[in-house]
Amino acid sequence: MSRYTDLIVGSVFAVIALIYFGMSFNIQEAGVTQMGPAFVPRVIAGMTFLLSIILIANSVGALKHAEIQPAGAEDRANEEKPHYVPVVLTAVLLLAYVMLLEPMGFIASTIVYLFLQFNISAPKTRKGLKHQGYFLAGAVVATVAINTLFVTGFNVMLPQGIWE
Amino acid sequence: MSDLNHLNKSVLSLCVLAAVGVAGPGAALAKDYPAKPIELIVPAGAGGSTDLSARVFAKHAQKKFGKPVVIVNIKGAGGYTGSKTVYDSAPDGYKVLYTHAGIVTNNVTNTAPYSYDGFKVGPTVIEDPSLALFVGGQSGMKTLGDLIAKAKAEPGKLKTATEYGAFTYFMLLKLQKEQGIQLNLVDVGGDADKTVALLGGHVDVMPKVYLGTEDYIDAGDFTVLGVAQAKRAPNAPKVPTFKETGIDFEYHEYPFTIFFQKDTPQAVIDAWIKIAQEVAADPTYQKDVEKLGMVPVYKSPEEAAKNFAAMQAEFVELAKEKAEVAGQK
Amino acid sequence: MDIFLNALWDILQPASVMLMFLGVAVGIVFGSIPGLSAAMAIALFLPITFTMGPNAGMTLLVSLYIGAISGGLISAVLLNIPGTPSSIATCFDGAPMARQGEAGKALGVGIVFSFLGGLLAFTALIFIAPPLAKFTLRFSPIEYFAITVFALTMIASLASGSMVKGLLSGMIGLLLATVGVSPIDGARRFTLDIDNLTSGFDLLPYLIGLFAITEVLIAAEQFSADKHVEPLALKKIKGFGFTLAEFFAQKWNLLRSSLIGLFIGILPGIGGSTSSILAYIAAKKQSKYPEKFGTGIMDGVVASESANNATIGGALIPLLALGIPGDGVTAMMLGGFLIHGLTPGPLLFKTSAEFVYGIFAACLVANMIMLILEFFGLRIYIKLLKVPKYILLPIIVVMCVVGAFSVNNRMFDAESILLFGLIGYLMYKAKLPLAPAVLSFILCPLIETNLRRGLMLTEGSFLAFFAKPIALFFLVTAIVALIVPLVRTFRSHRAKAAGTTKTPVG
Repeated sequence: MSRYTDLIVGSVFAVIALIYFGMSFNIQEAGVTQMGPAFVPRVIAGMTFLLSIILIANSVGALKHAEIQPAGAEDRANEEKPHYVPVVLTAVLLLAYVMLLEPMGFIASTIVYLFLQFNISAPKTRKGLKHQGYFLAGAVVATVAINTLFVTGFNVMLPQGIWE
Repeated sequence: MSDLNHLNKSVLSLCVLAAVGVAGPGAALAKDYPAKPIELIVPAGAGGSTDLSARVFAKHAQKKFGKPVVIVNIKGAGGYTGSKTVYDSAPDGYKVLYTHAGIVTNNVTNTAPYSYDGFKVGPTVIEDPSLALFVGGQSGMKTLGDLIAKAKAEPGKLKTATEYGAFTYFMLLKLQKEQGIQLNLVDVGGDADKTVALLGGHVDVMPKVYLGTEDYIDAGDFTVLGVAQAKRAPNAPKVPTFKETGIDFEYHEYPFTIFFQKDTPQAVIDAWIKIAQEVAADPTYQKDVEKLGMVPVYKSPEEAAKNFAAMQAEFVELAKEKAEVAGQK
Repeated sequence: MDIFLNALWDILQPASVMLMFLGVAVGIVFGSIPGLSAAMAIALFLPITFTMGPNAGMTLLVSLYIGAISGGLISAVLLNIPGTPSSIATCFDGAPMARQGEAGKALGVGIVFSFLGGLLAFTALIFIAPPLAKFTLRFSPIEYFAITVFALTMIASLASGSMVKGLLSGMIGLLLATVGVSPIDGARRFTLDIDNLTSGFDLLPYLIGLFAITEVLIAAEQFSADKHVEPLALKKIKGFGFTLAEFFAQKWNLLRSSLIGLFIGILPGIGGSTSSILAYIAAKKQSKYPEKFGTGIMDGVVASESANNATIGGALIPLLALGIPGDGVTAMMLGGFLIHGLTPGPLLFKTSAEFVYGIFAACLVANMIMLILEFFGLRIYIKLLKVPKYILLPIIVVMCVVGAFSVNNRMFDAESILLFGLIGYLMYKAKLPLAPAVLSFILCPLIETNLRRGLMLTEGSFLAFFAKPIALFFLVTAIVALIVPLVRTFRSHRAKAAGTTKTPVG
């Protein structure tokens, strides 16, 4: 995978640049200035495309090079393998949190989020019943403290949802 | 992501609708209004003239309401993001918009699909009638007549600071049309940027409210040509009207006005009318507003709506003519 | 001078010193928590100052500002998350130092050089504010365009590995910054018909997402591994953690970075995040060992922290001398003036000298208080590293969501931090550096706005930009800054290719 990273990155950027360039034709010109609102985006699209082509070319060159002298295999063994399960869980939990924040209200959604996130994040040795108690207490205390500070202290209208 | 949120909102608003349906139309709710803090949405960042005047008004209004009136700043897209929040809100009077001519200009420049009439117009509570024209102290121009003569001598040469699509932009379009002159309108940004542009000699003419210019006039950096009003502005009494200097040119006051979601019950609006009248009569409020360099007023919703309608008609016409001229080029 | 000493005496009264301690302490808290920023602290306290006298109100705002800007370094060093946009560049070397057990030293360096950067700028403010302010008047949109383009080309030198990837990262910032209504004519661009996108993405959610959420996702990779529980090793520190010799080795770095900070501060609209990144780049370029930047050397922290605190002094210059605010924070301070019936403008020095000198004195004293509070706080902040990350990070996420929400009081900004977190995580996986994407996001609207405004001033002629000496200087420097490293990489490519049998493409 890592050998092809730059090739993938370059290709993704090339595609983005093309889509973005295409979308720049949807911009309505107001006609009040000599240079319209689509000009700068098109320059950016052009630069992005050019850079992505350079990156693709470079990485193809490097791949050919690598075929002759295979290298880099040993440092991959040293790297600790990332675990993607907690990453995906964290991302999904975050998404659910911000989506439910408004309908559920800040207090309810934050307590649930914190409690679940503590559980995802904590190492296996720290997930016993005792720790669950700590997690719940921590979630409640942190949530109430933040809510009080912002809502009463600073008049920030955090969504109160079911608490309203 | 946003689609999901939208879905959530729709589900939620369905629930709200159902709840309202059970409780009967808003009238019952409106009777004990306000029952909780009111959010006064300011479609601009903290610290600007819109924000400060809203804060002064809210400070006095909440004393009379007996419930907090909380300023909520929602900036972005020239005020559209903020006005849209109230446009989409529940018609219960707990999200109220505090805005100005921007509600009209946003629509004329196609940023917002609705204008002042997308809302129920409330009272105008603060005004700034001091919009004046300024030129450099060394320019030799002393009156609007001098400026018109100079613009006629060399059409399209006088660089005039503006902010495209803003209140002052339409003032300049009107001036060009009525006096048959051609200025070189250059966008330099807001009030602070305009002041820098005129001070630095990057532009020749600047339209701006009087506030913050007094020192420059005294120091001889700026010459003020006059205000575009029928009578002198109370917040700039030293500045003559254009009419006094011999040119008949008038423009609108800058009206800070309360707006409500379109289906807001009349009882809520009546509550605000009462409060606005009481606040306007309060001498401490008047003093606070004067400190900001503005004028405390009370204009009824009908009167306010009439002013906004006049602006809307005039700006649409000016924008159309401008587009035609641009098309011919 | 008498007025100044009188003002200083007034400021040193117990009540106002207490107020300043409070302001600086609250500022540090706002600055150090990712998601909360200096601008937010001031926006939240602004209404409170309306009820105070003008001097007390301004003193509080200045204290908050100084506290918050320097407080940003704490989470930058300890968590690799900038606490406030101005401390982005502090992460670059501050976080690696912490990883090597030198968190105390990194904080100590940051605190002392924050203080010194501020001190230099406030001295400039007191003695040469009016002429410096006059200087800014020479900057029309054309000059702003040139200087922001110059700043943008600096991203080429920010990239630590491949320059092409550094520039591509910069493109991410540019692409995202163009979403929303266009400057000047307000045309909708890339909004996909989503109403919330009309006003585009805000800087604070962008930064929070890119740094804090990304950091959380990266940390999640190791959540199942138990080594995570081990807190970082800490070396014991004395005083501020560095020697006198180390201090004096930084004198030119301090001076250069403070001047950059001051200069950027004076120019309205660019801000502390840009100044600290530029100072970092300048320090790297001037260094005898540029390759060590980013590995955890104090030079990087010195550059970033002295520059961002000097920016405060710079930003106050046009405000006090001309009545012109340069950024969101000074705009709010201007509001504070107005509400107390003070008319800002060039004569403020004459008509309200006591008030102006009161602000000068407040800056100096608040800066001192910041040094004292953070010196004693230092030992407490480090304890933060003892809190397990699995507790700390989720709470920081909540603060980030609250912070993003309160920027504009809408859920959309809180939602957008997730998108940016995901982008940041993918960038990390693709080994794209984050810093260029930040700088380009900040600079893009400035460049476009000033380009289009400049063209209006020159009636459509871009060549006329080169007729202005300041613009010419920056544009030529920008072109050189882009071409030199390109040629250099090309040459080294050639040299490498010559050493092997195959010639690489490109």
